[in-house]
Amino acid sequence: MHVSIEYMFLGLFIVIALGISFSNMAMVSILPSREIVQSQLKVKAESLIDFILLCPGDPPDWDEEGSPRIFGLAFANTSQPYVLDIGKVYALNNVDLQENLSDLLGVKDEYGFYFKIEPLFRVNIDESSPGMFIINVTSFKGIPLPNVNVTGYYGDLNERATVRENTTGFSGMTQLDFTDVSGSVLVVYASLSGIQVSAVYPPRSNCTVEAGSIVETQYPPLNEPIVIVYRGILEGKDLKPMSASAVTIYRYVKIEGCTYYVTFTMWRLVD
Amino acid sequence: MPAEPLSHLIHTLTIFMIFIAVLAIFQAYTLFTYTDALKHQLTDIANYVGSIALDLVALASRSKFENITLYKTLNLPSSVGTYGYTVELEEKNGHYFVVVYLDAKPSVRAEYELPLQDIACVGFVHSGSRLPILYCSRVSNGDGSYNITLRLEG
Repeated sequence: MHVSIEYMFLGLFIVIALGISFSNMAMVSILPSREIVQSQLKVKAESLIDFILLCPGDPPDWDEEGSPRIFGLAFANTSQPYVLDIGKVYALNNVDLQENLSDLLGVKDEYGFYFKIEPLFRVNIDESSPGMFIINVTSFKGIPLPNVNVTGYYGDLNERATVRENTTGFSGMTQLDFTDVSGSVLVVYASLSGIQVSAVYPPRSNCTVEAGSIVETQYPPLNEPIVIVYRGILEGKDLKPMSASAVTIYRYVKIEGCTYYVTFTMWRLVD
Repeated sequence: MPAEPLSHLIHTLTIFMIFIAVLAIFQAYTLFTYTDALKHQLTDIANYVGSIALDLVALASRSKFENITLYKTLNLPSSVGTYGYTVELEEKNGHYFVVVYLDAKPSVRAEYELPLQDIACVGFVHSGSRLPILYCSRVSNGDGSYNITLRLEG
């Protein structure tokens, strides 16, 4: 009987010893494997977001013709990199395009992604009394920005605008006084260290400033974030963290001379 | 109760079987880990070729010339592990892939799906090719749209 017990103990000892070794080996190989998968995902995410931001797509004016064969947001008639077409950016709000986007980007059922484009500064305009405008400038994270040069163009469409300038204080706030002139539209350019963002009042007015005059445009300046998420959950306009292996890429882009911030997060749907 | 020598024999055989089972598990695990490592290397190659393909398409799309051909010489490793491999441009159900697989074990493969539609995507290169080149041609249709062709040669 005691011989059986010796063998059983020996067998048990071998199984436990090898089990522990095996489990340690698995840990040693799984950890670097996850690192490699994440670095490969980063390469894929970078090449994909750069393709979206550098390629105008096909047809190059797909935003006017419907859905694209090749998806890209770049402006077709410029050699400058990371300059986007505002029409294509607004087309991202199209539900049909959003549904097809995973297919167009070749990530369907394999990767989830989150895409957000937002102005680098948030410029909020309030008319406290007729012709008196309070301008509030914050970063895209909501932090007040002091020392921002604010230039306002006030007047009517297709007429020469009156120009006033001011600089934001510590609270990120300043005011522009147009009480002595008449007008219906205010176009504001906020610039700091060469970075410029525009806003209009009344909000969503389709206008901009060209050669000192306020002119009508096809689209209003983009002041609200545009967000697209595929196989993810949003908390407000932000992505709810869901996968530890998600990678996030950031890019600065220009639209109509203003600077915007692009966030692109990508994760594997199957680990 | 069997006789003591027989009991020793049975127990010794059991111990041997445990050893053999453990060795088999280790062998399978080693093979799995090795295959996984090979797949990671193939994925790296697929990502590299895919990224270059996208760069070429983006550059060709932005070109002011109506018709243009761009190319890039690929810097591919001569082998993965001890295996030769093939890089191939494939079309499946209207989707385009850079596929990299081991010549000896085609089931060990990695894919990179290109975010492109309605293009021509052809060619392959084997590892060890002296001059693997990826070409991207853009030909205008005259109506503002254009045809893209990706060709891999080596």
